[in-house]
Amino acid sequence: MNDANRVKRLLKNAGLSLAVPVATLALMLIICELKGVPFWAEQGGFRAFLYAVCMSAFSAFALGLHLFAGRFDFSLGATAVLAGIISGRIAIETGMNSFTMLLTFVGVGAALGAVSGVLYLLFNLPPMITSLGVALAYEGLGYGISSGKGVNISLVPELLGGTGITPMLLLLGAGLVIMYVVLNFTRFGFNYRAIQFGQKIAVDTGLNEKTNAFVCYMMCGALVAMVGFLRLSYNGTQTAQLSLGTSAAVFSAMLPLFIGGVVARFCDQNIAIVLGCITTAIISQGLASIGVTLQQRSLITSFLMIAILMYSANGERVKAWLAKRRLQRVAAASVAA
Amino acid sequence: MSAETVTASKKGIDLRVVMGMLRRLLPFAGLALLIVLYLISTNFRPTSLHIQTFIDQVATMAIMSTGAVFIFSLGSFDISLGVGAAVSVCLGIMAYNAGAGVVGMFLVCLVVGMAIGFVNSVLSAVFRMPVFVMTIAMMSVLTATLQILLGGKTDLRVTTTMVEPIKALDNPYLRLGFVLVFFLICLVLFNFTKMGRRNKVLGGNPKVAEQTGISIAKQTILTFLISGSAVGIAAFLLIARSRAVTANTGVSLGMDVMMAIVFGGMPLAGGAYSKISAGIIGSFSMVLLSQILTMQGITTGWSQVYKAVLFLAVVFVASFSYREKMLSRAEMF
Repeated sequence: MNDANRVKRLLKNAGLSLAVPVATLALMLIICELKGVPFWAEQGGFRAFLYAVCMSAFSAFALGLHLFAGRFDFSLGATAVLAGIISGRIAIETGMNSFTMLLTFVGVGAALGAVSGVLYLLFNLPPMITSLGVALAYEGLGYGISSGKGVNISLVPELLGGTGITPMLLLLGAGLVIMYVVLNFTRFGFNYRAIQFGQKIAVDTGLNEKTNAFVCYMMCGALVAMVGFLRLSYNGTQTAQLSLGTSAAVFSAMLPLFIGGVVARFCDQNIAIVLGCITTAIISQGLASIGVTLQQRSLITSFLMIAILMYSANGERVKAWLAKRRLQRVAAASVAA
Repeated sequence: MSAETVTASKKGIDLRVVMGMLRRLLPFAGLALLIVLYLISTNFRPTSLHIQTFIDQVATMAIMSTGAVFIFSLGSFDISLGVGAAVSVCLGIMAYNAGAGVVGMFLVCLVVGMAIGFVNSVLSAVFRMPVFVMTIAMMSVLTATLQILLGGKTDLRVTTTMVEPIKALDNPYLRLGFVLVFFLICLVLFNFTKMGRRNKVLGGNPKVAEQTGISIAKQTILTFLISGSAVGIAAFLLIARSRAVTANTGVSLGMDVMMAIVFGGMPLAGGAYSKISAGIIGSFSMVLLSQILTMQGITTGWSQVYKAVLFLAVVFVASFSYREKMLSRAEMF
């Protein structure tokens, strides 16, 4: 392929990738215009929008890293909460600032992810089952060590600086670059893809699947710890939850992940996930601006999720059916002629 | 297999076989141990209140878990069961408050539970969506539906003036009766009918099942309908017990059901060794464990940690006969 064709192809893919969020934004702006309401209905709307994008992006990175490798981890939400409670307390007691608290979150998250990974490797059971036990244990630990109170940093201004617009943009950018580099330019990334697309062949050729899975768990722990960091910095508090209440946070990252799955046909998976998160946040913001309640928004986004899943599962069938119909029409026309 | 190999395996003790036997016995041994610990905690004199509380807590979970065994036997998970039950409770209460009476309320619960199961089965069997991911999406749909039905209120209750007939249903023996009847029906369906056998074959190897003429779509729909009927009956029992529904009703119920089935010794991949007793054994064990921990004065958070550790220990032992060279994973998309 010559340079001109490569540039043309790159521009085409970039255009198609951006088409989903841009078209969604255009649609929402038109709806807002027709309703006579501004898109940013609230003051500080952009910060809230960016917060939503960052939260779902880090959750979706972690969820996707497991899902694309054939694993589902119920404990991601509980890891974020426990990392929040442990790191928040350490930060308060040792007088940290926002940056050192962020590093503590990453360290604690990676350690919690490592424990989860060790259990998965030790048990070699469906990860859903292992992660259920881990989620229960992490929730219980978070509740137990904080006596059910969670953690509150709202009175420590030095720790609340992580969720300004600039820090959040930097965090999102750093997260995206790290994921892109790790999955595309490292041995871990190559092995991850080899296992993703052919576990048996990869294992039979001598690839160390266990090391790869362990690193995946550590990375996911660190990624969801970022969710915990953002939540604690933004709200000032992290409540302790029980009875697998933390798992809901993970499920909310499904829609951006699925939209990302569609967009990923035209660009890198990680960029697609971020575009999926932006698209989801645009939909939520637009619907909120025209007065759609939170419950109604949840219902709409859930149906959207089912529609995307349906498309993913049946897209090829529909294409084959349409092609068959086209052939039948051509055949019928030629017989008639 | 050569003659030498056969002789060697007869002479030696195959660790895999022993662990397989241990796995089959473990749920029963665990339940027996928990019963002993429970009796010790109550000084061998459980009061009627103890027993009533136990039945109250176990009935809903046992019925839902027994129904869910059918889905598990296909090698699938449905985590929307708890929220499905909450939606059934909500619509059941609405029907009762609108004057449908107790029978009408029961029918509404049952139909809603089965309708949710039907939708799940169609999405799975007709639209070929991966069951687990599809049930996550359905859980979101049902959670949002429940919140819309509640109309922004924190809960929905049976109208005070109409509460007496429901109070009459708040009887532990009636609940136990529902559990026993439902379990017996499922026992027959699962072990002594074509339906149960087909489920096991399908869970064991879908390709073999298809090639032997089993209709995967029909079997999936039947399976989800049975599980849906369990959801409906459980919803009816929930109304009889609490006479109210909140946005949190059923949040953890679906996960509890999943845990109970695993606790009860259900093979994690479904198939031929699936046991209908797994739901009921697991539910009894989990509720007994909760009660023992409460009676020992262990606080909520730490109690959950103990449960998690025990759960992991049980699945660790149960997993011995399933070990494979490669790590366990599933196709999600």
